Amino acid sequence: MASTTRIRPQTAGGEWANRLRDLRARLNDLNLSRIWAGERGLVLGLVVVGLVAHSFNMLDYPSFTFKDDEGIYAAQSWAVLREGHLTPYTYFYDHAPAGWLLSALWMALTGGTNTFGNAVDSGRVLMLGLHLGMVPLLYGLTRRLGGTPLAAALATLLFSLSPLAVFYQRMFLLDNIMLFWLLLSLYWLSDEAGRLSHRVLSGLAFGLALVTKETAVFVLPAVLLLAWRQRRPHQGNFAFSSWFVPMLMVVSWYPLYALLKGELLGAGQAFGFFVTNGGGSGSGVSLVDALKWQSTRSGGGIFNLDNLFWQLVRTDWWPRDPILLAGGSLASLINLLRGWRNRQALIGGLLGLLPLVYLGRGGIVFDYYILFAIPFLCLNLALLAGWLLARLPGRGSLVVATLAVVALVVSYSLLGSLPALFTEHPDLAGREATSWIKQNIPASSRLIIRDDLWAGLHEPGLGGPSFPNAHSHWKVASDPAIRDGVFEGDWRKVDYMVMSPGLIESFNATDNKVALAALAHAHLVKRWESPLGTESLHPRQIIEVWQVDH
Amino acid sequence: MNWSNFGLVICSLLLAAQSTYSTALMLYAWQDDGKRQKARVPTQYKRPRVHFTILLPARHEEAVIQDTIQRVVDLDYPHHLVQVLVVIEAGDRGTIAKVEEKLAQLHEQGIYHVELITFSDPPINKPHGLNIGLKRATGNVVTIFDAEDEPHRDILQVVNTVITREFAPVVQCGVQLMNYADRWFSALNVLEYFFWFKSRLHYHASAGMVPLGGNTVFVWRQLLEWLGGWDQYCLTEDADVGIRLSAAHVPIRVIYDDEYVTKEETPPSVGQFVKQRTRWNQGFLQVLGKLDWLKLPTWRQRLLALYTLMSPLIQVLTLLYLPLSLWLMFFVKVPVWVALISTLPLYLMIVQLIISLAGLREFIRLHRLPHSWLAYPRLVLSYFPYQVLLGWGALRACWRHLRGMNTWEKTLHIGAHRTATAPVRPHVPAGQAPLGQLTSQFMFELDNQPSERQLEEVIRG
Repeated sequence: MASTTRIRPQTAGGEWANRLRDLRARLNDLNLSRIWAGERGLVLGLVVVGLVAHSFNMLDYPSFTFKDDEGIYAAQSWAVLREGHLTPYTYFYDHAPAGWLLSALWMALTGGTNTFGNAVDSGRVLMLGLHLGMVPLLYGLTRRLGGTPLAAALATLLFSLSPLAVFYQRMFLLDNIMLFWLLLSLYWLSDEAGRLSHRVLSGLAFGLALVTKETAVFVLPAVLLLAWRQRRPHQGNFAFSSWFVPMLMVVSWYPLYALLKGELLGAGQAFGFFVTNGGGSGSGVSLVDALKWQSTRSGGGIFNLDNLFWQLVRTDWWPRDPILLAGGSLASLINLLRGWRNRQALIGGLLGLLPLVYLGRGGIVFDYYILFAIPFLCLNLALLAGWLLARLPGRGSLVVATLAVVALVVSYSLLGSLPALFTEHPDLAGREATSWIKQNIPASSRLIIRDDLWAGLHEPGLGGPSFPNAHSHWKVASDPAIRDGVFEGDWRKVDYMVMSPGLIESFNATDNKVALAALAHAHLVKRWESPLGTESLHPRQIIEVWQVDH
Repeated sequence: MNWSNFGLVICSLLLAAQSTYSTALMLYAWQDDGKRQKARVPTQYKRPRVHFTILLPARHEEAVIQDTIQRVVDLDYPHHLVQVLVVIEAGDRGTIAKVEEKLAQLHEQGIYHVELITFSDPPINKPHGLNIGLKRATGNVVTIFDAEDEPHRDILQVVNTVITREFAPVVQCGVQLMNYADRWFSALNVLEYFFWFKSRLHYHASAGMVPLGGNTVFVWRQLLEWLGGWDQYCLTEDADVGIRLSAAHVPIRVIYDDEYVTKEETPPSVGQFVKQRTRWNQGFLQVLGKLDWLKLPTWRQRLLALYTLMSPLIQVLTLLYLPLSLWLMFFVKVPVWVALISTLPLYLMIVQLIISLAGLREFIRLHRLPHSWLAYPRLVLSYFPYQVLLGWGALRACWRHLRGMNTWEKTLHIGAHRTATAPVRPHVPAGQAPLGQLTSQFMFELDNQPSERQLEEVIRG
């Protein structure tokens, strides 16, 4: 340290120019730090808003029995933690594992899967943490893309208050983890000083986003544009590689893993040379096949107003939050057009539109995929609002912005989608069912269950022992190790079934002969119904236990 | 997990951490704009006030010594403020004759500030020559150029400006190998200098622990005298002086402006390259063994010194580890996650290769050299053989060091052997350098009235 502080930068223009430069730099530092000191309070306030909106009632609504996916990631975290495997069943590269490796780490650090309730609850607390991390990141990103503090505050308020956002962000999903890495990457990449180390970190974070959920690749054009814009003369020839190489490094671990297991290429193509290691040659799964499968899952085609995307817009996303959905999309479009003259707006617009293009491409889309678009819709709406507000005289912008936020919260309340988040408890059925099973069914019983109860039943606690023979109906349908191994292809081996509305359709769709036959020979033992709530936003949770008569 | 897996994981993680750190040091100069500005030379020169003594140690340099002297005479600085001392061992008649011839020529032109000094007592090596020169030096600031060096014409102006403006007691200017396209290993050798002088040395300066280079380094004469001169029995006397200066709390200023570097050439053959590398590595191990680095003020500096000086050992380990990890990965049944972690060092080596490619482009651009696309595939092909060469040089150094073979292997010709009498080797004098006293003395010599504040700044560093 000693020798640096004393030495002044030497630049063109002689000593006076140096001193002037020095002074200006010092003033800049001062200004920035003062601004940040002022804004730090604001950001802290926004984090508190996020904390309240996100956390209150978050374990109850939406119910952990609502989506299979939460249960799947809970089960996979459990498998990492308890068995040292990526999944409790054969890992078939449906998604890269970084997401649930993180949640497993989280569970390990917080003392197990059941610290906050069941494993899904534990995941949800992690989601809360990530959301609180994303608030300052989104704020900073909006600022760095040219937004005023007001605009940045607006973006994060939308992000924390939109009923659409809160509903899905509470859930323990890979998308939420991926978004955290993505925002972190964008934030680092947009560093004003263009520090090389921040570009490296940004590359690493983007790599992590990709190996958490591959869909992050769809915003790559916007990220590359940002990386290109953020080049600085002092970075020399390292501007590009400093971002790209770390990113590739992280991503390449995924295929490398598959290679080491002998599961990179299709079963027929695997190099015999590489399979000395994992003993995975017999599993018949492969990364390349899985990627092919993922990319070809159809959702109705792109020019089809009845494809999955438009169905979800009409039935789910629009009813939850039309303001963000319509406003954000429109703002993204306008920002893209503004981008003709303003590169920052162009990057913002691209970030908003690319996820929408991905969702609307006509492939398979699930309701929670909207998560990918949400922070960027907020960003765009705020950038546009900030741009418009800046045209108002004096304190007008602050008044208008305050009124807008009040109007927003009032309209959300009138819509009914906001209050439901804090008042309804559809999870009760699932929790009662878990503890009843734990107390009333022998632990050695063979059960066919849904994924939502999986981790809860396999981990001791929650009112009883573990149920090692409780298996997901998907695996009973398709995994030979379960169907033919555990159940020997015979419905008589099934002791109990946990059912819920719509499950029979799934059995039929997957041609689950064992489950269908078992159900045909079973009788209802117990049934739980969650309290009545707003049906349009969250279906009532009904869970039944059936005993198979041998 | 069994012990071999555990060892593999720990080894991989340590080596990976090491590579990450060294990569970060390679790229330090490109981190932000402030670093770039600080490394630049001033564009307006101050009035020449510093009196320089230039030491030109030479041995069997008949071919180039006259040119070298001419280049030093041609430096753009008033001759009455420059003393040039050509130091040669008395037995080296050929070089001495060439120097005398040149001196006669200069005298005819009325140029009298170049002197020839000879010495005959052992050891016959560069640091001894430097110490002989130092005794006869009269300038305020002593500097060194090697016989094959091509310093920039303005270098004394630059250093005069920096020293009179900042009262920097030590200034290290950039040294750069230039002939990147000559041999298969040249590009990578050039890049080592590029990353070392342009980037890593600045990090060392900011940390207050600088292993100095062998030439184009400027030190206050009295500071050198206080320090006891160079260690005649050290193979890298330059790095040793740097460590001792750092241990005495002396701030070291580093300048690397692409235009003002002292130009050098890569060794002419693989054999010479390995010999040079062996000498450096062995010198580092010697400096490590002298333990002066333990007297550095902070733990951070001590660790940095330890890390820098043990680089030969790290190179040896890397050389041995890489094939081992590949073999383990593909042919031995280890758990997949262990295999994944053991790929990390290899990964980082590839990262460094990519950085080298970008660095080569940067080097060619900054020095405005002719550009050839073939240079890049050549670099890729030579990268792993070069690592083996480095590892071999390091291995050789460790071996020689363990066997106590401390001969000076530098020149093409002979190595002078150690004398039988136990040598007195300079260490760090107790306590901090009397910088305040030296500074006021220095300023007095420069006919400069220092203000209280300036003095205080220098003392505080």
